[in-house]
Amino acid sequence: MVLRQNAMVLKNWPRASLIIALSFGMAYCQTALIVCVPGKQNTQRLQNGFDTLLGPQKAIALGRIKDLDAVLTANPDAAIISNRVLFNFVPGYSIVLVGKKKTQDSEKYFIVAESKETGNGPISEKKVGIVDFLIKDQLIRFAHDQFDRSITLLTRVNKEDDLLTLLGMEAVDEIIVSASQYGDILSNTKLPLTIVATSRNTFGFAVCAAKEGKINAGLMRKLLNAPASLIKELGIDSWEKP
Amino acid sequence: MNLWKAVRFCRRIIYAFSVDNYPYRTLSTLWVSAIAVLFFMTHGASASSVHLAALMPVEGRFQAVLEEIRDQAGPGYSIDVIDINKNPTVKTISDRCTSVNATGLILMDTKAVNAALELEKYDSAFKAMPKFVYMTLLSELVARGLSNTAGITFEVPFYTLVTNFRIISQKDFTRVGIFYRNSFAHSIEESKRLLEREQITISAVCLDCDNGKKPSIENLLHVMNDSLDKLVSKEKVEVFIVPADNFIVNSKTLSEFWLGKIRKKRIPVIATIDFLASAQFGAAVFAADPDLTQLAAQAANQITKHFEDKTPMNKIGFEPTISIKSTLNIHVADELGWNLKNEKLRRITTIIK
Repeated sequence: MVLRQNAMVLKNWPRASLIIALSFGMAYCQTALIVCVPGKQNTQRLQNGFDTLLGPQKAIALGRIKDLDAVLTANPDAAIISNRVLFNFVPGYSIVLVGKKKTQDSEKYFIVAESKETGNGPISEKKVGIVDFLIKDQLIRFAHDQFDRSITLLTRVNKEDDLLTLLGMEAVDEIIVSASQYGDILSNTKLPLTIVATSRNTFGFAVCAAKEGKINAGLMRKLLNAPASLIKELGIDSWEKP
Repeated sequence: MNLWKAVRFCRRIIYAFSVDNYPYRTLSTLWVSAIAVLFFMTHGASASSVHLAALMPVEGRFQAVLEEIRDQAGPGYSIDVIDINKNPTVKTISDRCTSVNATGLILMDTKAVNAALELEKYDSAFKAMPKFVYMTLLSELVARGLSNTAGITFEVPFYTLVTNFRIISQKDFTRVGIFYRNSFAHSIEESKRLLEREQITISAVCLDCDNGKKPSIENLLHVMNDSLDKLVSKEKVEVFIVPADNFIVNSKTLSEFWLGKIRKKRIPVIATIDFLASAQFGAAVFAADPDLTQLAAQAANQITKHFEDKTPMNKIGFEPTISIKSTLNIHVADELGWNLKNEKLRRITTIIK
């Protein structure tokens, strides 16, 4: 039995080697910045953009929130660019740059449903779709804290574009979206949509945070001077010091 | 404990004791990781709490999807693979499932679903076992005889295809035409209902519903040719869908109908088969395929919902493929004079210029 189990483990050997290699690679090349803005599906464009801005291997762009924990452990001193809401759940980080959209620096989140769906059936049994911008348990806590709702049937997607499909295909009853995502969805559909609930708080867009607020001055300068096209990839128009 | 957790735990200890000593930190990481690997190789497999068996062809995209499911589901799941293309006997499959203590089956491809049907007949214990069906055409139909199933339909829904094309189109089209065979009737009806909410009407022509003729390619092509004028002039169809059906898409229909008659009428064609929008074929202006990485994430979501959230299989059921990879052939769009919204083109995966 043990031999069989070991044989199974050996099948996973390439993955194990990759993780070890990544671990050593990260020990040698200290990454200065981790970029994790889930939902945008532009990881490669972000990686290329930050490689050009900071130099190769100075930044890691991630498309999935679940990869953040592993990369963060290997790069404990790196600054992080991510959605503001993430830092409600990651202790020890202070915001050093705040992303702005036009003049706004935060927005509400909504629970959105097709008009006919509102009021049908018990709330606890509704299937809810959301972009995976936090890990699963945090998403459930976020929904509970902001909308006073305990959501048990949560469907997570990695792409913002898939939220509308979830609703349109009736795979979920409701979706949780930010105000800007909702605006984008409205421009893409003729489904009669309604805002069922609005979040208790407003949440910032992408921000840059560093451990105890200590960020390398050179990195800060480069981020402030980043080209508009790269900043746009983060879903914001400009950076501002808090 | 799994490999990654072991390495992470050891690194945390090293970091705690060697804040600014980089050479020491790296050497220590090397040693401790080597120990962690040895530990993992002796104890790792037994750490998974849910054991599954995957009946699937061990090749290309099936393997890629399985790897992504493994990654997304996490270390709590071990998945043993049985290559269905090696034609294992029912007894072999059953013995293997028993030896790895499989508590669930992942079935990919029709052959795997058929093997599972045999397995249920061979040993009734398999009836109670949850079965997840992925990467299988007409999966819900194929798996109808199986008990305790859930899965994801593999075809890109017409709803997704049409709405994604409208998002990038300047023209706000409302009438879409499609030719289909009777076996696809259910999906056509469902698409009509879903698209009606988007204010899009489907004009559908069944090619083998009411004649006694054998459904040969020639006969179907004949019906397509006969009904085209009615669809375009009377029903005002503005866009045609090509379903993934080799009676409707083949070399004969491609050259004579899709690239012949329809192209002459300058009506855009959209397809659920990506090569039709390729530079080589250029039959479709827009095409969509399932995004396999996201499909695997959706699959892992179903598996964890069942084993961790205790959601019954019938509540999970068969979900549609949600995420797509899209192809847009700008050359064909230009040829047809079909204008596109440039600001929306960022959502397209592949643009052929």
